[in-house]
Amino acid sequence: MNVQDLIAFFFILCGAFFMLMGSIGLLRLPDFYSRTHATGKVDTLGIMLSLLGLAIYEGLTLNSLKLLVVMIFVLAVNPVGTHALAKAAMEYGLRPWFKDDTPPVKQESEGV
Amino acid sequence: MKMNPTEHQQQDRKSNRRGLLVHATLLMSLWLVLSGRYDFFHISMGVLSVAVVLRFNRGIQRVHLSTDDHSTMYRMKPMAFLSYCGWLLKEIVVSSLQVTRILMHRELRIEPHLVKVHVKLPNLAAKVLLGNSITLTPGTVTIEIQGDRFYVHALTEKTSASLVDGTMASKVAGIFRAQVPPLHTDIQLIKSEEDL
Repeated sequence: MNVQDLIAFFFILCGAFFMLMGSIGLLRLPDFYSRTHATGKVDTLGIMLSLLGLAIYEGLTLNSLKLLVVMIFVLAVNPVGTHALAKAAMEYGLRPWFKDDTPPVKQESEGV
Repeated sequence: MKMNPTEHQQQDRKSNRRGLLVHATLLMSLWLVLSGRYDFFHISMGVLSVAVVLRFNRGIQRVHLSTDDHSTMYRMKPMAFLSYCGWLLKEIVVSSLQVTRILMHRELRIEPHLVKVHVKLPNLAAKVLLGNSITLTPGTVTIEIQGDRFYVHALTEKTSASLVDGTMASKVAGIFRAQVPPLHTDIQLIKSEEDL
């Protein structure tokens, strides 16, 4: 195992960690809007790190260039999708949850 | 800057041709990267597909996404854009770690709130860039942009800090060759149902 592989594994592990955080956030956060933070964003970093790790693992080949292209697409498209979801929820009339509200679980499960 | 109609049209056509060239180059390089075969047959297939795509997309060139007139369009500074990308990546990592810390905490210490902010940016591209950057950094989502008004949902006060103090907006404006200072006014934090 050489240094390149080790760096690659490190990045992929970090990516997996952030993906896990995204999933935990999805389960723990109270309402739709705060859940978009977990899925849309922490996941973005997770995907980026995993792809970067794979690109490093590949070395300087055409495949790693392809992975880089995928990364750019993810970076450009992911926020647009997240924004579209949030905006759709807002237009549907879903109220965000605030701290002084009573437990949000009920209202949220009906809303979505 | 006042222009007579023909001059305007001429400039329109010129920028259209330039856009077409950029579009074709991008598509072709995407083809070359993804195909990975550089013999005559595959490259000619690529040229053909690029031509077909451009032909079908010709109508899009004429759609004006903004009502901005041409005098308010500014070109991007490539170096500034690159350094902005670096800053944004750093910001993404930092705020991801912040969000991670919040999520790991036993009692979920979040204070979701909406930020309503009026940002004066030089053009539409800057607005799109700012909106996307806000959404990319964990802890803030752009919900709506109406004119110059941004509605942002934020998870905690820490994550919305760079938005509230206006660093992100001024960085975005710095990418464009505009002498207009970004006006960052009328910030409103909505933290409860009544303020909504």
